Amino acid sequence: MDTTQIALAERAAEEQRHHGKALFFWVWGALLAMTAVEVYLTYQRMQPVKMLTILMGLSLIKAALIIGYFMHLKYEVNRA
Amino acid sequence: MDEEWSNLISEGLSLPMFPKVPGQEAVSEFADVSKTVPQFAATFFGLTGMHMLHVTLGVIYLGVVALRRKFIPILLVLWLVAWLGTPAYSPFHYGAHVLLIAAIVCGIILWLKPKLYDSSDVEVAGLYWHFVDLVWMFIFPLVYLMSAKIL
Repeated sequence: MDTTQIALAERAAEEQRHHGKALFFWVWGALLAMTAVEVYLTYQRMQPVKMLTILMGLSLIKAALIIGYFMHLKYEVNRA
Repeated sequence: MDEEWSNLISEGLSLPMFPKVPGQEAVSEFADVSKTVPQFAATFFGLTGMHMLHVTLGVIYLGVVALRRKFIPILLVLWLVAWLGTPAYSPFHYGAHVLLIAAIVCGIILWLKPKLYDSSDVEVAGLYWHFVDLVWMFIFPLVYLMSAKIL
């Protein structure tokens, strides 16, 4: 990519980035919903290893959402 | 000191999952590690306490980026409320002085290097905040949910 292409890609990413706040509230809602599922699972009788697996799986999905949307990794421009 | 760790280990004390040192027995009063090492409290308050410190610093970071000098009086009010509002035996009574130290440090930084924060500063402050957020995604299930006692 030359500098013009990088600038254009960054502008496109910038436009996508400023799509408003709604998406971030949806992501937040999804994180809250997954937390609610985690807390609900805690009150079910379950093997500790099975519960740990489910909890860590959900945590990884939540981590991916946070990194992707809140930390803007989804909107990074690939300069390679 | 008789209770020094290296001494106890040389006398045969080990955690349950590690093999015992052959030919050596732990001093009887220390034989059961779970009774002598308050492991849960140390882990719990180590993880949650360090996380609280990072959240506090994140709030100050975001507050300074958002309000600059105007955040310092807010910080000082928060310090007074936290300091005078907690009993002397509470760890938060002296812990509140973190806010006073932060106010002094922020004051010095803003005095030596006054600037209007731009979009990069907001971006980096957000990255720090959400990194702390990210850590909580793992601490919360591991520390609170996995140790919950269900009746």
